[in-house]
Amino acid sequence: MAHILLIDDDDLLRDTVQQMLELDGHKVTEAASGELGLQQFARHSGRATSAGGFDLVITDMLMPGTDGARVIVELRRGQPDLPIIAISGGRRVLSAQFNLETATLAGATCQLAKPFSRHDLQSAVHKATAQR
Amino acid sequence: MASSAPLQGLLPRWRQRLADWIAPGPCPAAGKNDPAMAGLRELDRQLLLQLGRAVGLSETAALSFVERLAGLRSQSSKLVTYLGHAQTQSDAMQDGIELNSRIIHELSSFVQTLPAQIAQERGHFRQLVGEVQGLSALTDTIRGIARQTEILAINAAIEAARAGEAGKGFSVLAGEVRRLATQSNESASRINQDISRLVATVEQGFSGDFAARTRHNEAEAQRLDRLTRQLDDSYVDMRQFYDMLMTAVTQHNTELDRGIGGLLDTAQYQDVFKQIVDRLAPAMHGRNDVLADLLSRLRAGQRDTSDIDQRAQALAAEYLVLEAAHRDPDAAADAAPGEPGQRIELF
Repeated sequence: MAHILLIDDDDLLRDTVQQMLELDGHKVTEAASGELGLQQFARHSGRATSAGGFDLVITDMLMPGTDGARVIVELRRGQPDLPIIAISGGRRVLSAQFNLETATLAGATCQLAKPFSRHDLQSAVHKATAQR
Repeated sequence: MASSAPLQGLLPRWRQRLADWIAPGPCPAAGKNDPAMAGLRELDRQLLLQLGRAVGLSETAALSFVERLAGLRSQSSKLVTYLGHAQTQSDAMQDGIELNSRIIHELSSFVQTLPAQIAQERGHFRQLVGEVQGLSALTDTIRGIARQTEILAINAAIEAARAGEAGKGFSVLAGEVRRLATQSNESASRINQDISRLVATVEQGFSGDFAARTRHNEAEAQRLDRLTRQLDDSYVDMRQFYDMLMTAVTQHNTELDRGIGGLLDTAQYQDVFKQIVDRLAPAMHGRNDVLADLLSRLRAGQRDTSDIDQRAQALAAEYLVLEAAHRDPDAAADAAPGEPGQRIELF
């Protein structure tokens, strides 16, 4: 099972997704903002999974401060083959579809539009980790 | 890849034609196993080998070029599609902001009427305060009357004690009391009138119109507050939109730049091909000279051609020495992307 870094500023969604992932046996480290996510990643960078390294990152796109696109680019710069799943629900006129297209252009491995089911999440995790 | 398929067929055919052109024996008149031809055959073999490698290198480079070009085209197409969607997003945000701006402009007209409305309301309240002050003065009058009535009552009590002796005093007191009663009545009437006016003023001030105006003002103020917050949200969205757009486009541009770099790396192999061919040319000229000499001797009936083979062998050796001085182009063809300078011939 994978060690997953989950970055989202929405507490409720973060808790829900964390529980979904843990039910599938994954180990989850969460971060409430892009900045904290990058700090967490840097702290564990270069380590094996058994030593706390991350196998996968799931990041929200719309976050105050460091947004998802910036997170993806920064992560890619340090680890080009890292699987990254972008998630977004859109906001007002800023659509989820556009945010996820932005994620693709920035280098995300795959995308998930909020809200998503546990099955959607499982498929995305499988797809992202299989491409590594 | 579909776009490179014609090249995959064409290049081997060219290579075969090249081999066919150079492979036949140098002189049909000479025997296939003629010792005089051994050096020329070796020279031809070396030339063909190098030409084959050059064509192979060119073929690999061409295929790689086409593949990289297709990749770049795909990336470029992705960017164009993305920017089209970004334009749609931007238009939607702009429409929202323009709508809010128009409504806020309308609300600003309402805000401009507020000072006049407030002045009018203030006038009503000033009048109300005046009426209340008038009532206050009347209250003072009544209080004075009450005080005098009290004094008269005391005096009446005193006079009553002496009623038998001075009955006239009572008639004076009674007159005074009547006069005060009259004044009290008049004051009471005035108070009634003033209260009626006050009530009318209050009613006017707090009439249905006023209540409606107040409700309207409250609603408009709330709408203004809501729209202002929406504008603020739109600004936040717009800023995040452009931040993400710039991040993604910059990253994509970096990928494109890397792809173009790879394309330029591949293009350099064409120069390697040219260098190999350039080095082949002197050897080919030398070969032609040797062949021409051989032919003229054979036509003249000379049978001794032993030096011909030596010259051909010397040419082959010279060519091999020259070729060995250069790096192996096949190694350059295997170079990792982004590291062409380490393994490619510089020229």
